[in-house]
Amino acid sequence: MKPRTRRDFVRDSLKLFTLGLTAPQFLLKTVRGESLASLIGSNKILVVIQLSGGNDGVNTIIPYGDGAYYDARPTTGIGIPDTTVLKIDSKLGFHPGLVKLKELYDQKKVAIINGAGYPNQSRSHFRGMEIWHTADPVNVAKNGWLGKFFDLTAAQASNPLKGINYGDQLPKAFNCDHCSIPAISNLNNYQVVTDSRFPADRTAKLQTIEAINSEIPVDKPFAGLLHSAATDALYSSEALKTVTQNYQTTVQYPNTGLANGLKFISQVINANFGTKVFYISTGGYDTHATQGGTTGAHNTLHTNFANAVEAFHRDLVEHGKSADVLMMVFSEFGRRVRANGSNGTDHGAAGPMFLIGDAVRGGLYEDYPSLTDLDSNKDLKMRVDFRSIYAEVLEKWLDADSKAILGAAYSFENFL
Amino acid sequence: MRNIQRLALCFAWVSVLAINPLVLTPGFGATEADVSFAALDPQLENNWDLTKASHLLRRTSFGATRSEIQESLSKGFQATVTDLLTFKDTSELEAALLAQNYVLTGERPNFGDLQRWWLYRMQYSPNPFQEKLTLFWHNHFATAYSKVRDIPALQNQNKLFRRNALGNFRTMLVEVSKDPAMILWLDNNTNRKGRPNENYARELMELFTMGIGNYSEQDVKEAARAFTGWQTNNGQFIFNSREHDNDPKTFLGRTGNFNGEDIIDIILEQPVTARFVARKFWVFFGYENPDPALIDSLAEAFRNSSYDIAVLVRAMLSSSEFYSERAFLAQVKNPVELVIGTLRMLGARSDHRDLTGPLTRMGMSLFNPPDVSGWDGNAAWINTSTLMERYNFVNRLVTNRNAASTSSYFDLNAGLSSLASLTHVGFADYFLDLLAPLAVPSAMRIMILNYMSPPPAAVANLQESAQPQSGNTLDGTTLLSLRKGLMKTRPSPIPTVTPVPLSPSMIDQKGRGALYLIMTLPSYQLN
Repeated sequence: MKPRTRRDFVRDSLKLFTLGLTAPQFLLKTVRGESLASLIGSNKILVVIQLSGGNDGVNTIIPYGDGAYYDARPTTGIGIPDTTVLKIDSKLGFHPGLVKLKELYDQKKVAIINGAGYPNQSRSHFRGMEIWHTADPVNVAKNGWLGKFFDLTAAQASNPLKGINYGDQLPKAFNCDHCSIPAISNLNNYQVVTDSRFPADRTAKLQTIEAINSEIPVDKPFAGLLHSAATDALYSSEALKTVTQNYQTTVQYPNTGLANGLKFISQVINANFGTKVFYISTGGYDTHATQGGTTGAHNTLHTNFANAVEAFHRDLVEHGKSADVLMMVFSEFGRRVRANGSNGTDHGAAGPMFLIGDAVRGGLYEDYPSLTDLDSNKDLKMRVDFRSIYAEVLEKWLDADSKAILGAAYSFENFL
Repeated sequence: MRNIQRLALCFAWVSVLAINPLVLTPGFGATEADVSFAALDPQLENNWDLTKASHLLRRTSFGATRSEIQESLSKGFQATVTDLLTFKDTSELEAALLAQNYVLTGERPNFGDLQRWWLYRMQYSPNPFQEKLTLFWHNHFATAYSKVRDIPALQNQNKLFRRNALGNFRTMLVEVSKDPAMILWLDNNTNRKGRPNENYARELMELFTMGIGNYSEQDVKEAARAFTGWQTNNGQFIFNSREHDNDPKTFLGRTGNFNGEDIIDIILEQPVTARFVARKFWVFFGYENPDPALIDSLAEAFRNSSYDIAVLVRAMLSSSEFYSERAFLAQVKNPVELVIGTLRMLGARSDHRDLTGPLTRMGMSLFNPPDVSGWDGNAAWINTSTLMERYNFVNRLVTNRNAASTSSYFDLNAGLSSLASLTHVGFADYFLDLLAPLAVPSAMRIMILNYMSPPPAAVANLQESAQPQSGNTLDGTTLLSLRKGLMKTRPSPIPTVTPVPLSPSMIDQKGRGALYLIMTLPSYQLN
């Protein structure tokens, strides 16, 4: 399929301006002399996939070539036999459940960042996840790293769908001063519902709401916010209704929550609303007990994850969008090297991150953390600060000022 | 115009005029009792009107019902404030909670039931201000179920806030420091001699009393030592002397073998404490970014009363600034103000089971604030998703026609049954007055009326452009023309509106629709 050009994108997006944006707002924000292109931004899209609970990195990218692995994790317990490991090289391999991810890796579309973490890593789900969302391991920050991105970027500023969280709970990553990111789990919930007894009356009601909120100023501190949220809600919910209608694919997505969410994201990408960041979470990774090895709970998580991601990628390829989309996968912490007494693992520290997409320079980044030279809690020492990965995504993929967002400069791994 | 229609029109206007304070409120001479009022503004008593009364009652309650407003106007400003601060006996409420099964039963009580227990109180307590103050303290000492996971402990904490709502702040601080839910929340069980955990000491100073910049990190460490051994056991506070650090501490310039209560006393000696708390009150009940001079005067009254919360609250509600133009509609209704306020004003009933999910999706899960700093409020309540949740709650309420359902229900027809026939103007004005008196710009009122009974020219345009162009799939181009069509059909507001009679079926469609639209108005979403 012929790759879409920047001109194609700009032409399509002109419909978006007059449709998806609130026209009065957009006109107010347009600065004389600012180019149209800079207001649209690039067509690059980030999809953040959060693995909630603390994914066991040691049984994700497995250091099967290191004897210390089998010392700590005998195959009678949660250790993965080297005959089943999907080998990358003589030292490392994927967990067998990640077959579909290995396929993408072999196409050079997966960058594996070993040992991502931060100093004095928190082992609390709540605080740990908050740190990844705010990119601040020291202070309890108010705004998220993606929220700051939206606050600082002119691209798509007036677009009510510039970012979308798939799921009811908006992650703190999207907290911001000026942006407003919808949390959508169910298109049926994300709409203005009117009296089902009188469907023909719906348009008159929506028209009245729109008129009230766009034509009548109210001089009160939060009236403007209510007005813009109302019109944004109307336009974004009406626009999203069309998302499934024109969409066709040959790809069979697995029937899992993550796959359904990624399919929704693919549909929205195809609708060309200009969304720059999607966020989706999938849980169950807090494997304190009966984690399993080649089979079992963790294997199921891996299989579901890989199958969903691979289907999503194939769908993007089919629709000519795969060059535009970068996935970033993380978890709030890795887990401990040794299993606990319940054949599971407890909260640890550093763990792997994945970057997945056509634009990625596939391969391994950073040495695997040492299984024997551990931190004071006997957990894996980190190899790279996760903010380096954020910084590279912000600068190279989202055209953003990573120093302004993260508060400091970080060196890149060069996976892009 | 038929007489019955005249009557219907009059109904709407008389209900507004009948509460005109010039007609009803007697003059009020200053008496000895007035001396206890801080910053008393005699102008308020003499100018007590619908706008001020409904504003005060909205801020100190959940919605302001017509009868509450009328009562306030007839007794006047001073008596209203005094009565707000005087809590009536709640034994009937407690009995009703039991009778209606709003209790936490069994070994594993349900979190939703805990939330419903409080929602019932908010709706039916004879002291809604007491519930509002409890909400203030819950937000101030924000403690969340997501970590505490102990439902009886959270309920007891809620009762602590209610008990001390207008009591003494020192007492509140000491009780909170010994509260099992708080101890669990801020990890004080692991605050031990030799290995202190600073979490409680830090939040006590940062969030509950003084604010950042008024103490050092060393003060936090020393205060933590003073709170060592303050633990829970079997749901009760115990002072574990073995774990308590009995050595001298230096805190905010004072040295001694301090325990937690001493730390609290030293904190209360700092001038900043009264200002911090007064400011929290003003931001919650008044508006954001208050003038420091205003806060200073409230703080002085608070401090001079040895931290009597009732004195602070009375000073706040007695200040003319509380009734200023700046204060009116200066807030966004928080989700419980919107939901419970709507139920109260419409006289709706509910078993509250249908409300806990929507309230959470609106951003306010009672007993489960997002973190220890509570809910930010105002702008934080509004994004596209939460606003649609708010609208959809209103829609469910106005379209629930099933009197047998236990979900939130109000009887539209009962309220209107005294009127043989009703006009669209009468209907709209009645509910505008009931729900947002004197708050709705006339252009918005006209739009509601035009929705109910479209002026003839607009109707044809509406029908034509509401249909998508046939044959096209609904892509961006078609949506664009849909939107343009919608913009074109908006009729320009017409200055005078001829009342149109509403048949029962039109009440069911356009009446319920108008009521829905009124409650989506910015004026209604604001407080």
